[in-house]
Amino acid sequence: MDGRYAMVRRDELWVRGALAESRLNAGEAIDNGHEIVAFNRIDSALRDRCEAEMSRVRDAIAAIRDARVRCVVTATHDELESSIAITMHGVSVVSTPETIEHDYALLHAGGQAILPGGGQAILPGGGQAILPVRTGKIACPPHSHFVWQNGSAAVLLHEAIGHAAEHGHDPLDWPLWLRVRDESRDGVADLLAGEAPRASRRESFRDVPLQRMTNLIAEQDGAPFELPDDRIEIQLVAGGAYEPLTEIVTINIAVSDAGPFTIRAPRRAISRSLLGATGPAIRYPGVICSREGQELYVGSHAPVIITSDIA
Amino acid sequence: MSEVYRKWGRSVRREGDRLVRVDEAGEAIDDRGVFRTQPIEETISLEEPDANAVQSAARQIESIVKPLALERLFVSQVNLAHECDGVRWREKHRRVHLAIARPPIRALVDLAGFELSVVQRIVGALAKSGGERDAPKRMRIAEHVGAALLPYFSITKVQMPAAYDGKGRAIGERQVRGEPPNWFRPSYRLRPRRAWMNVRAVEFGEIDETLPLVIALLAPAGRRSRVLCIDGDRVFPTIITPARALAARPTNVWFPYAAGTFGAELMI
Repeated sequence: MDGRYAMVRRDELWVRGALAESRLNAGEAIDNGHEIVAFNRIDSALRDRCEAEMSRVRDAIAAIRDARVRCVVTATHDELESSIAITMHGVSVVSTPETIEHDYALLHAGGQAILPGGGQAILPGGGQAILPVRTGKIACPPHSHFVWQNGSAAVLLHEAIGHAAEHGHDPLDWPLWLRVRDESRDGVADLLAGEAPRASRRESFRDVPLQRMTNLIAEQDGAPFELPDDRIEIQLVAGGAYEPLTEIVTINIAVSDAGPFTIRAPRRAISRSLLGATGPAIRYPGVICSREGQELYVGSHAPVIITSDIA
Repeated sequence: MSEVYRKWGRSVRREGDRLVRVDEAGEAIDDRGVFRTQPIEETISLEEPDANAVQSAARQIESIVKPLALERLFVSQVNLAHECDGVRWREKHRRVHLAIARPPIRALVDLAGFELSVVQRIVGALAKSGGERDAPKRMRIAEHVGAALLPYFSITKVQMPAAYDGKGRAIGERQVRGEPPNWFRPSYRLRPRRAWMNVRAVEFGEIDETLPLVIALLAPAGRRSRVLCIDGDRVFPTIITPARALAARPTNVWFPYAAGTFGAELMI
């Protein structure tokens, strides 16, 4: 690391088509490995890139007049990241200018749509559950198999495998057909083998960088797949959490054919629950992951996965 | 008409094993409902926070907590200057936020100073903790836990006076009831919101000092709160539902919960 980090972030909140909040956040941090010195300084080149991207994001959301839309663009010397969180009736998707039209249409349809042909997935939260959950604590339906559609299993694996790897917890015996890795510009980490993510990430120049996931990709190789009769199809996840002291995973299901409910189980139980999978990894449009008070966007991909009754 | 708020801050914090120094300034403009914030270049003279005091407190905590695990350590000192619609004021504050783990439980500690005796007491109890038990019928709640739970208790509370709220207006003493008259603004990047500030329980009843004692929060305070209880030789996690209290005794120690609460020894 060269020890210098500079960022410019613009975030805007649009409510039913009207701008409600706009923030510019800019500064630098110099890190000598023991001490971080952070201060305001606007890098004009980064600001120009950030504002140009935000202009593109505004164009992308211009037609959305019936939702709450939070747009965040962050420019650093390494990357330009933009995310668009759209919330309607307490259910959210996190999208990008490239995918927003499709994701918004799915959300607008009430979260009922199943995505065509391995395209974009319905989404919401993940990580430490920061997107709104539509319901309270509803018990997991008993004696069912779960079919995790639309890449939603990425949230389950993000919690049970990704966060466990971040915390240095021992790897478990997962099915041999499963591969889970984190990709970042700093390299690839085999999360299934317990390797911590390679990237050190931070929300702002004031924050201490932490080894955090950047882009979780779960894939299957030769997995069995047989749809059980007694199944609940999970379409949309509202959020999740991993408790490092007990290794318990909590997943709040927002949309399924059994309605919303909560799964709470030790990660060991989750590792034993994976029964099969099919197809390529499907992009789940966005997980905003919160850890140590720092919210970061984490890419998420997973094939359709079948689990037994986890709880 | 738009409202302009400006804030300058210098802070030093220990976060885990890293020392972080931050020097920044920004403004928030509320223009007919649209809230905008941005950094500002104008500087003012602010005293350098005492990094040695921060480091010393952090090391003391690390020493107290051993052999338990210090899952989260934030120790900070901040010097601030504010300006809102022509009113200028300054403040200094210290904060400690800890998560002390003894799997499968963790105790959470929030303090507004570097007086750490309560950390010692919590660590001592945590080290002896056994399995979860039902809450005793009657209990005492220690002042630092009562401060966190105060918003959830239906008891008479007053807002204590102070010079400035988040809009530079005086905070008056009044009973906590109805809409708060003052504004809380923990960061220039956040919209200010109405809040009761510096809330203190009004004393009533008599606390039975022989009752089991709630010594620590094991999760953030809420309408169902997981806490650590000492009952004679037994120490155990349990769940309480703060609502009614049988007695309350305020203390003069201020805690950084909500928009500020004073310590409250309670009997439930």
